[in-house]
Formats: sequence, C-alpha cells, structure tokens
Amino acid sequence: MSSCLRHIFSSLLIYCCAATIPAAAADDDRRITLSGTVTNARTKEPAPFVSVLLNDGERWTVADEKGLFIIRNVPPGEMTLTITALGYAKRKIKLHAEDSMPPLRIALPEDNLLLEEVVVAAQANHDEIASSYVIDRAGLEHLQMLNVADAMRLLPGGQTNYNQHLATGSGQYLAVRSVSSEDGNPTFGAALEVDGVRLSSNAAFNMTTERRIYGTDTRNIASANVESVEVVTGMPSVQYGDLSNGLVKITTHRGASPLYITASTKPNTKQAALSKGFTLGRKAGVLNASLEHTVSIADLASPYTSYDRNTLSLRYTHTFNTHDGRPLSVEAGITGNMGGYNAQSDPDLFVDTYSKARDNALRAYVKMQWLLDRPGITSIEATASVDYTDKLTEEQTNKSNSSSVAVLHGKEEGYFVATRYEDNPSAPILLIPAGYWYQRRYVDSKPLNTAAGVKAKWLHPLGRLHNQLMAGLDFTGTGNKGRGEYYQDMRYAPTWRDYRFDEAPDMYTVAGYIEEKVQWPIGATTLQGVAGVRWDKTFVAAARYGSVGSLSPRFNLRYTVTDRPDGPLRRLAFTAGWGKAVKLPSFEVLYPRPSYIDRLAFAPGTMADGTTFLAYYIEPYATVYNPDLRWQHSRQWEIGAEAKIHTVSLSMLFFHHRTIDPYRYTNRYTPFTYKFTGQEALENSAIPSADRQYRIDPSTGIITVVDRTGVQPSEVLAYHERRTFKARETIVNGTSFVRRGVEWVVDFGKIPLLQTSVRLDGHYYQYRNADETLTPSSPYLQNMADGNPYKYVGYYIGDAAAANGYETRKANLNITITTHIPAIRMILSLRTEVCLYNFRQNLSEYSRGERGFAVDNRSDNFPSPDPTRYNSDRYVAVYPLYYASRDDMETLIPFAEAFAKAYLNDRPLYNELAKLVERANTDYYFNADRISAYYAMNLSVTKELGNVATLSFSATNFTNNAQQITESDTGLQNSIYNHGKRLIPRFYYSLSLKIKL
Amino acid sequence: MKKIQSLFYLAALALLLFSSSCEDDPIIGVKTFDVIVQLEYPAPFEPAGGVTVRLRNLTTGVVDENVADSAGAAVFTVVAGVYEATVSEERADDYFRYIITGSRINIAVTDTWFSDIPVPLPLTATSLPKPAEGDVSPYGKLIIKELYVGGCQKDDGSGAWTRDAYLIVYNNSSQPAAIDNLAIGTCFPHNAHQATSAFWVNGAWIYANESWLPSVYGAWQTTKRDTLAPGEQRVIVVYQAIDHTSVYSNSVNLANAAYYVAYDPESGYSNTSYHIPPSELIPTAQYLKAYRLPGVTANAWTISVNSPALFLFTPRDGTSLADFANDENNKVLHGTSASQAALKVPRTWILDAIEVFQEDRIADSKTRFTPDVNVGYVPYTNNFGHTLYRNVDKAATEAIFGNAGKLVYNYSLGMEESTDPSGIDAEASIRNGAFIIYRETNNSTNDFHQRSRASLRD
Repeated sequence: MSSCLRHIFSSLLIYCCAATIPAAAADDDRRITLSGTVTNARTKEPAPFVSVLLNDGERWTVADEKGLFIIRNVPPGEMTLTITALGYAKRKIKLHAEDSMPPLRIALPEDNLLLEEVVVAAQANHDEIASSYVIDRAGLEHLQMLNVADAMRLLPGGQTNYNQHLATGSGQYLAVRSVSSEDGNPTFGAALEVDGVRLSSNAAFNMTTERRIYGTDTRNIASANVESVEVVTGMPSVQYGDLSNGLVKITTHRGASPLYITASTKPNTKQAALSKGFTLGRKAGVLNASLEHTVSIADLASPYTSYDRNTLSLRYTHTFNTHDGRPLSVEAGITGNMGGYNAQSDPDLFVDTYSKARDNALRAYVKMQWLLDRPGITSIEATASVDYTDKLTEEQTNKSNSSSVAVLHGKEEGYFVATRYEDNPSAPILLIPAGYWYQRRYVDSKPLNTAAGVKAKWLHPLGRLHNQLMAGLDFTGTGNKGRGEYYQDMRYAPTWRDYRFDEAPDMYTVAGYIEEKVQWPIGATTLQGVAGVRWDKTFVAAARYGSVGSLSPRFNLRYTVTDRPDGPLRRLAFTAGWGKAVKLPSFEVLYPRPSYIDRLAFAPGTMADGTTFLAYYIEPYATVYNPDLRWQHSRQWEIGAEAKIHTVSLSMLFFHHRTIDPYRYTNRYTPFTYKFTGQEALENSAIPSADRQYRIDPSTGIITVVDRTGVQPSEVLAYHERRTFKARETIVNGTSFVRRGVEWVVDFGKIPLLQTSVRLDGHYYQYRNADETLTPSSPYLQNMADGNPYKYVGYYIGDAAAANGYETRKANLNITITTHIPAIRMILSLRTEVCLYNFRQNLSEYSRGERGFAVDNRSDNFPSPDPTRYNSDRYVAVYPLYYASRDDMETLIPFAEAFAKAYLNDRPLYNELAKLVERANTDYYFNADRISAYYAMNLSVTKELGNVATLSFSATNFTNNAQQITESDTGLQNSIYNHGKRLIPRFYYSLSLKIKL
Repeated sequence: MKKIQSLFYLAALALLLFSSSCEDDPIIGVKTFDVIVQLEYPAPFEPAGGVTVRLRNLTTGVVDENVADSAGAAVFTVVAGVYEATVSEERADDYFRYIITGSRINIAVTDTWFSDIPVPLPLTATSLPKPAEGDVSPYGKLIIKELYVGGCQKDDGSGAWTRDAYLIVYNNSSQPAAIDNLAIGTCFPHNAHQATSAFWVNGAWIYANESWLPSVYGAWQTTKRDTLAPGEQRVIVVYQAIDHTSVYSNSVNLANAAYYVAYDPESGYSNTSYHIPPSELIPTAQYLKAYRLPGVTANAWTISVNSPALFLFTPRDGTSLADFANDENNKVLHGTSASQAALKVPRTWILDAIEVFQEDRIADSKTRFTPDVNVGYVPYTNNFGHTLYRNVDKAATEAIFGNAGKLVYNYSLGMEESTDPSGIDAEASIRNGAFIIYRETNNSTNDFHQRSRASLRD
C-alpha cells in the first residue's frame, strides 16, 4: 500500500506540472468518428432518441428516430459509451475505438423484470467521485413512493418513516445525514433539484414562533413520473451552491414512451397518474407529459383532513445537429401543481370553521446544451429556471368573549389606548366588542426563485491524463410575492402586525466556479480527482448585512485499484473528499420580521357592557444587527473504500460534517421603565364611567380622563412606574458542532440457484452539540420580593437551561432479501429494518470549566458532595457564569461566588439570585437514554403481467410488531407505538398497478 | 342604693304586719290569691322547666320569684294588687345563644280573681353568637361553600365557556371570621387524572410525609380587612369578574360590588384571555394579590376545569405570605417544566379543601391531599354549568331553633349520582332566613355534591 501511495503522490506531482503544458502538446491528435444504431433488443426495431454519452458526458449525442447516432472528433482508445432511454435499461459499453471501427449495433433491452440485474435498492453512483446514491425507476416502483422524501429510506441505514400520509399541518422535508430537529437547520441546508431546477425555501417566512428554518416542502413534487433520485451525501461538485447538508437530484421521465397509467393505494393515500412521451415528428423532438392526482388523508377514522396534489408536467426535448458532431440539445419543461392541505369538510369542526392551505407550484426551465468541440471549449450549457410557489393558507375560526377584546395592530412605539372600531378603524389598538364572531385569517406566501446559469467544459487531455475543466457562472434571484398575514375583516382581526412579504427586497446571488476533473491511469490503476472552488456573492438591498461573499473549495479523489468483470477481486477503490459548503442566509435572517412587546399600561374596570379601554405600551423591535455575524457554513470530509470480491460487493464510508458558525437567536437586555395605571386611580373619579374618554400621552403614558359631557373637569390619573428590561433579539454564531458516521453496504450478489440476493446495509450516526455561546437571559417578567420587576440578568453558557445540547447515536441495520425471478417477471423483497442502537443524552458542557452539578434534593441550590451530573439519577442545577444588575449592566459579576456569599450574608439577594439557577426537570434528565433494539419487517412484491401491466404490493411492518421497548434513562418499558419518538410505522399495505399502453 | 332598697323592704314588711284586710290568712288574716303565670314560648322553643319567673307588685314593689314547672307554669300566692310578671331565660345550641324573654304588666288581682285561670306570658327569643370554645382562631370556620370551575355551554353551540369560575367562602360558625389575608391555592398536578406527576413517586406523593402541600405557581391572597358574620359568605371570582350572561346565557353574572376577584396584572398574570379588569363596580381593595413564584412563566393562573384540588389557607404566626413565597426554601418544582414551581404551604395553615375528580376519569384519578387535610373526592362533569356545592349538616341545621319553618326540603338540584343527602335546599332555605350549617368532615365525598346549576344563578 505504501508504494501505492507513493505512486499516487508522484503522479499528482507530475499532474501538477503537466497541467501547465498547453493542450497542443498532447502526443496524439488523431480523431475518429464513432457511429452506430440502437435498436430495441426485443422487437429489433430502432430505438429512437436515445442518449449516447461518451465517457460520462464528455461528448454526447442523441440518436435520431431511426436509432442512428454519430459522435465525431473522438480521440481513439479506451472509452465508455453510456446509452440511456426512457423505458430501456441503461447500458454501459466499454470499447477500444480505432479508425477502422465499423458502426456499432447496440441492442437495448427494455427496462423490465426480465432483466437479470434489476436492483430495487439505492446503488452507489460510481459516475460521481463524491459519495452519492441513485435509486432508479425499478426501485422507486417497488418502493411505491408517494413522496420523494420516502426515497431516503433506501439509503444505507435508512428506515421507513412513521408518517404514512401527506396531510400534515406542517411541511415534510428532506434531511441528508442529519435529523431535522437538530441544530444548524439541516433540512434548510439540504439542496433539492427537480430536473435541474433548484427548489429553495430561502424566501419563505416561518410564521410560527419557533426559531428554526426549514427546507423545501416535498409534498408538492409529483412522484409518479420520477425516473430516478440521486442523493449526493458527500461533497458535491462546485457547480452546486447554496447548500450545507447534501444534495438531492430528482429526474423525471424524458424521452419517447408509451402511455403509462398508474393507480396506487395506501390506507391513507390514493394516487392516479398518466404519463407518456410523445414523438412530435422527425425533427420536432419529444414531448413528455404526465398528469398525477394524489390525495392523502390524515386519519382513517375521520377522513376529512386531507392533502391533495394535482400535477401536470410537460417536458420538451429536442436535439439538433445530431449528425455533424456538434449536437445542440434544447430542453424545456413546465410543471404546475394545484392542491394543498384542506380541513374544510371535517364535520368535527364547528360550523363554518375550516383551515386550508394551498400548495400550488409552477416550475419552468429551459436548458440548452451545445457540444461545440472547439479548441478551448468543448461544450457549453446554459440554463434558466423559475420556481414559483403559492402557499396561501386560509383559516376561519369562531370566536366569542364576554368582554371586549383589545387587539393590537400598531407598529409605532409608544403608549396607546384601545379604541372602538367605529371611532377609528386604523387605531393602533382596537376593541372587538363582547359577543360572537368569526375570524378569517390568511397567510399569503409566494416565494419566487429565478435562476440562470452558464457553464462551459473543456476537455484537454494531457498525455495519459484525461482532463476536463469546467467553469461557470450562476445567477439567482429570490423574492416573495405574497401579501403576508392578513385578515378578511379588520373589525375582528386579532393582535397582529401587518408585514408584507412582497415588500421585503429580493435577494440576488452571483456565483462563479471553476473545477478541474482529471482521470489518470497509473499502471493498472486509475486515479480520479476533482478540485474546484466556488465563489458566491449575495446582494441584498436595504439589508444591514449588505452583500455577502463566500469561497467554497472542494476536493474529491477516487483511486481505483482494480475494476474488472471477472476474477476474485473484481473491484477495489478508495475515495476521499473534503470541502466547504455555504448555505445562503434565508429571509428569516436577512429580513427578520419585527417583533413587538406589548406591555399593559392601563387597566380600567370593565363597564357594564363588557367594555374595557385597556392601554398598552407598544415596543416594536427588529432583530438587532450583529456586525460580527458570520455566515453559517459547513466543512466536511469523507473517506471510503469499496470492493467486489467475486459477487460480493462491499462498501464503507466514514463521514465527518462540521457545521461552523450556526445561527442562534439570543436576547440583549437594556433597562427600561414604563408607567402603569390601574383602576384604583379611577375609584375617586367624579366623571361617570359612561361619560369618560381616556386619553394617553403616547410618549409619557400619562392618562387623562375627559368628561364627554363637559360637565366635569378633566382628570389626570396617578400612575406608578415599573422598571424592567427591553429584551431585544439578535442573531449570533453558535458553537461549531459535528455530525459523523459510517455508512456501509454488503451485497452478496445473486445466488443463481435461488434467484435470490442478500444485502446488508447500515449506518452508524452520531450528532453532538453543546453550545458555549455566552447567552444572556433574565426572568424579567417575574417580580422580586418587593413587587417590582426582576432586575438581574444571567449570562449562561449556551441556553439558560439545564442542558446546552445533546448527543445522539444511532446504529441501523437493514437486511434485504430479494428474490428476482425473471422468468415469471417477478421480484419479491423482504426488508428487515433493525435499529440496534438508539442513544440520546442531554449535555451540560463547558470546555473551560464545569457547567452544572448534581444536587441532593431537587430544589437545592448548592452542589452535592458528589456533583457528578451524568447517569447519576439525580437532579442537576446550572448557574449562569455571570450576572449583571439593571443598575449596572456593564459589570458582569461571577455568579457562583456571589451566590454563595449572599447565602451567608445577604438572604434577600440570595433569594433573588436563586431565580437565575436553572435546573433539570427530572432526576433522569442527564441519564443516557438507550432504547432497546427494535425492528420492522417490510414485504414488497412487484409482478409484471406481460408487457402491459406491473402490479406492486407491499406490506409495511407486516408482522405488526408492537414490541415493548425499554428506555435506559428511566428503566421504563413502553409500547413502541406509545413512545413519543414514533420509532416504526404501524402496519399498512399498499398496492399499485401500472399499465403500459 | 342597697340601703334604700333595704329600707324599702322594711317599710313594706311593716305595712303587711299591721294590715288586717287579708281574711283568708289564718295567721295574720290577709286574703290571698293564686296567680298562675303560664309561659308561652315562641316556636320552636318548648317549655323546659326550671325557669325563674318574677312577679312584682307594682304598688308595693314586692317581688316574688318562682320556678316554672316543666309545662312552663309558675304559681304565685299573692295579695290583691297590680303585678308585673317577667321572665328571662338563656338557652344555647352549638352555634348560638338564645335569650328568651317575656314581660306582662298590669295583672290586676282583685277579689274577683279566678285563681285557677292561668295568666299567659308570651315570650320572645333573640339569638346571639355563641362564643367558641377551645380554638379561638380569628378565622372561625371558613369553608368552601361552592366551587364553580367547569364552565357552561355557549349559546352558539361552539363549546364551553370556562372563564367564569368562582368560589364562595362561607363562615360556617357562630363567630365572626376575618377574611383578610385569606389565601387560595391549588395542588399539583392540575388534573386529578394526570397520568404522571413528578410528585408521584413509587406510588405515593412525595409530600405525603412532609408538613406541606404544593400550591400551584404560588397563591392568591386577600388584602382588604373584612369580616364574615356567621352564615355570611363572599364570592371570590377566579378569572373574569364581569357579567358573562349577556353573551353566554348559561353563565353567571360576576359583576357585583361585594365580590372579590383574583386580579393582579402586575404580578405577571397579565393574559387578558383569563384575567381582564374586573367590573368597575368592584372596589380595587377587593382584588386579591398574586404571589407568583420565581421560575413561573405562565401569564395566567389557571385552575383545572374538570378536577381541581383547591384549598383555603392563611399564614399563621405573623408570617407574611410575600416573604414566605419569596423564600427559596419554600419553593418546590413539579413536573415536566422548570416553570412549574409550587409553594410549600404548611398544612397547619390550611382551613378547608375540596378534591374534585372528573366523573368519567375517576378510575384514573388520585386524591392530591394528605388525609389530615381531606380524604375522598366529589365527582364532576364540566362544561355544562354544573357546580360543586357543599352538603348541609342536616342535624345541626335542623337543631337551630331559629331555622324552624325556614328550611326548604326536597332539594332537586343535585345530580343523579351526587346530591345532597340532607335533602335540604340550602340556597332556598337561606333565602327564607334559615341559618345553614354545612358539613365539615374533611372528606369531599361526604361534604360536597355536584349541583346542576351555579348557586349564583338561583
């Protein structure tokens, strides 16, 4: 091995030198023409419009309607032809091309179960050097995928999701080598492309109070016309930007095809789909059209809450100049979806109440690829796309109250008193009178993403080096054309502030990248390498953060020791990758919606009709600009090895993913005093309540009562002041953290006698994050012993909570036994998904000292003689590192020392400081939680009925496993279904029928 | 004064000795007559014998005293003259002293006097609070007479309205009771059928052998100096002291100047869905003060709408609830969130308690009080205007002499499975002027029943 490494090193050195030699110095300038005919292996008829790629796309063409293809200007020698067409099996042909070579005659078999090599699991994609997996049509059909996120379960160690339907109130997201609930917004960092169109959630606004940014909701992506799903788990090419947690590429049907009619059913979901590839004529290309209707219900017992998807997709492809060696491929597609979530017809809801959410989408793209084959430029590709989503949610609820309700709409800072709608409909605070009413709320979000890009490739062989240089420019624009949240009738709008999404300036990004890909035969081995760098610059109008630049270098290597079809060792290869990926900031970061703190400033007694004219101090604030904020990014590396010994394939991959500068929300506190006036100030008022008109000075908060009748003089009410804090949110960079793991696959190949193959795959995954950001926190809404608002602020390591992070570890093992009998065109798989190890532990960590200690009794404030906090079955308390007083915010006082002194000498201070001590909720909070092993078994059968129909059936968790699991933190046993973590799906079946006409 | 009186008696004796008009007197020859004074007691009092009746000659001033027999008759032998008969008797039951008095003047005894005809003496009775024996707590016997927490159906059929909760504190003694510094708390967990609780460990409450009970989030306390006379009550509104009936016709009118209300927005309980400014009729002195414990983040003090465990208490020995609640040692944490702090209220401070179980979850429910505070429970179905009402102590109530004729029976507002076994309609009887004594056995099963209608709607 050491000689091998020396070989690689010396080869790299040579390459570095060779890369500087002009291309003209290549020792063989001969060029040949490669031609051939592709036919249907079964019918012997020409296979029209098949794609023919040379050496993974260095050169390419598309066969004409007679199956004839010509590739000109090809260097002679070893090469690989890849032939793909819709409805046919992908074929790779290795050949040695010479001048005298006759036209090729390629018989392409149809893609069906008569083939020997049908695979229904995710396969490592050897076309990419970075680790990636591909699930093709056979696997997807066998899986009966209704949501593209389902495909993730076929990755090594992936397991079936608990959720069985699409009718969830919130979205469904993809997470690659991560779990959606972890820090660092992993679903936001996972990039998703459909036919090359990037779907982005950058322009989405999270309307919930949780401080989390999600990725793209996958529910509106049609699943029936998906040809393949590729998941790049490693460091992707630099042509892919704006990502930090993997890339998922979905490719839909392309090319001439018969009419496919598909019908699928699961207990909660039904789907019907049509798909056909129309040949438009000899020189007019192919039009693929697909139509899908999917409806999913949340609850079988109450089938009224549903999600539906109605997608029409058109995709046009045509290639010009197929015979002159410089083909020009034009591709355009448009996909429209109408549907969404709907609980309108649920009879369990009160009359005329409902909620529904549109999930309409329009995606269009144009792509042009031109094989120029000129000196200095081999091919050029230009793309333009638009992705528009209409996510209008509408919700009508019934309301009632026996008193008036003060609703706050004001966005200006100051004191304001509630006003009747009739008196001033645009008042900052309105009163909804006592009674019954309906409230109809809309949230109109219409993210619009546009993109355009151009990239060029240049093949420049250097001797034995096979080089390809790629460079490109990308432009993306992101905006939201939605109205934001609003209400049908302002008379009944609740407390809410108008914030129009469409007024947030668009975000533009320009990116440039360059990447060199080299393939270097070294003796009998081959070294492949990709090195690239990407530069992104984001321009944001009117955002404090201005334009943001980032540089992302990425490297991937593969060293193939052997790769041959026979012999004991048929394949041995090693891979390594390293790189940086930057996820662009979302609108949540760039344009954080202003928040408002509304403090009750006046509370007069309620009148006989239920009206009370409350007044509030409105305090608007936007997230405080942080000039030190750095953009979140990730740095990852992976190394792997793969081998094939006889028929047994093995692969193993270690990955390490560090999220750097993750975004965190914290508060900053500044002292603040406001006035409060209570009913006691009115008890001696000479003005009858019915005649009172309350006026409040917006800046001072002093209330004046005016007699509407003019009989009594105006009265200025007494007040008292409340000294407290303003808490203003800001975004900071948290502590970097790591995900790491191992993915492995052992495929024993097919046992001919049994027509059966056994595959084991699994992963071990670890996530650990203990944030050490110094985080201020104050229970300032509480009072002190003297009745005044709390005056101290604690500065904690990480959150003001017992834990500042957690660690998870998980080891999954999947055993898939697949019996494929081509003679009867049937494939049957039994997949046992086992979770061997499921671990979680809360963490309280500080790299420069202790964070937290065990206490003998739950309410104790001082450490136990044995302060061990982990796995000790004891409660744990956590001090802030420092505290500061409202009277002197600049002085940070070490907490532990001051607290101990106060205990001895200053009991009132001790009692107040004790309010800053955080503690665990349970005595097992810091115990390791290991869940005992559990499993689910899934059975799938696909049977082709001649060439006309394919029938698939699957039963998920068909043994109806309802085992008891044990959790080590409490020692308690529980049913696997009652467990809050939803570990395995309940038993359900699915059936689908696909007819080919 | 005594000297004058003695002289007066001597003169009268001399007059009698030297008189010669009493023919029937074999010794001194003075004619005498029998006067039978018949005491007529007001209902429900009956003659009991042993009562001293005084007969005074209005001319001579001579007073004769005799003891009435068991039939209420006292016989005097007197000379002719004009007399006055008086009587004063004191009786008592467990709760009151009764002063029974009567007086009749101008009883003219002449030669035509019929000695065998009784002279009726009508009596009247006055009740006075009876001094308590033993415990002389200034709080008397303050009890929870009623707890209404479950809400009622809205008029539009959209569900229940539950922000109209209240309780009634009642003086169940014959002694005035001060209610300033009276505090209210509820026990964790909020609901009796809550599946898990950090306080429930190894089949027992962790405070079972402690001297305290956990009071959710802290407590509320009255601040106004106020006293309840025997049989007097105060309504304490838990959420919204306004008239709910104008919108929810099944609800209650809580806008009343006499009511107290838990309202203290500056404490942090500022959620106007629960706590809105009380009716302007209610003086701010009747607002209860909230003691919200450190760590509590809830912006409303909420009580279970289906199965609360509520108790009344008052700090003793001069302890300030403010100081007590702010002392770190008096706080205990509960449950799944650090914000669920509870105040460790000494059990000796507790005056009364009620334990409620949701009617269809009884099998899952656990009583949260320790046996010295309360055992048993009262079943409850919320959302339909039902209330939890105290049972009448039938024997004690009927034993009160003044209640005769004022008690209303055939109580019909109890629920099928839970009604007042006394059969006395307490509210109707109170309106009749009766004094109701409620049961106090520290057992909610015995002491309470589910009433189909809030008493404030009677």
